[in-house]
Amino acid sequence: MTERSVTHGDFTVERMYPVPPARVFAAWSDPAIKRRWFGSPEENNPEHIFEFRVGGREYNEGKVGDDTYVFDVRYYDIVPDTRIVYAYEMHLNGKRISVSVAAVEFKPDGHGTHLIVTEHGAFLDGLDNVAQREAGTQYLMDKLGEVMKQQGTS
Amino acid sequence: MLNQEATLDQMFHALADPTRRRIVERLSRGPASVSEIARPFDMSLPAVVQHLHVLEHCGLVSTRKVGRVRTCTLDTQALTLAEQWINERRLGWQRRLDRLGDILAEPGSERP
Repeated sequence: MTERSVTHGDFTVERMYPVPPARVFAAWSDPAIKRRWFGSPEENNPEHIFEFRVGGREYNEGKVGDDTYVFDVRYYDIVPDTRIVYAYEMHLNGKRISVSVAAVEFKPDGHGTHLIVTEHGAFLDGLDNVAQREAGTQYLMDKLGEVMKQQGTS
Repeated sequence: MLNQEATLDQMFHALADPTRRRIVERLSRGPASVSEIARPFDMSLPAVVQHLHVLEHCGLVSTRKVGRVRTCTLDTQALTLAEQWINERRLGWQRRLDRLGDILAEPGSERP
């Protein structure tokens, strides 16, 4: 039986680029540029969808080792050269593992652009992935070990 | 709400206490009731419960009451998997935005 759970999390990633916001924005709106740094939409892949407009859909599927990931995106808000807000769900091997909201901001900064990517996600059901779980527990035990060493206990 | 830095802070705060570390060690050997956990400590039950609250708050321990007995379990899996997932999302962005920076810096890449 699947253990049901929802874990919420967020993060922010920022960059400064020495080019105007319009150029950075074009790297998001133009599929030919986007695929060069984002990895999709792939050029000759009929499965990939890229509709860069409010209400438009972006869909891509890819494999990492034996795992198949699907990203299914809907664009909610686009202000040219300024802001993109979208929501997406992520599937792993056919199971939905997360639903997220993302906002990308393009802020002029002198002659350049301050780019901010913020995501809030709901991570679902913890996944039944033994390898990941083991790696996770190992990670925690390592951290615990570090703390204990610092405290002088063994 | 999981925020990478805040989660680690909470976890380290929880583990900074020797009693709480001993509780975590006990639970790593299997689930236990609150009274079972309290037994080896020369401490009142409410004091032990207070420690358990701190451990619950950072996601290390989960408790469930069945009848009169509250059972505590070490709950590392959900926390670290979610941490990993958020970490992967963030790292993915770091890599992509670095590549974007390279592309934007290419000479002659400006478009009319």
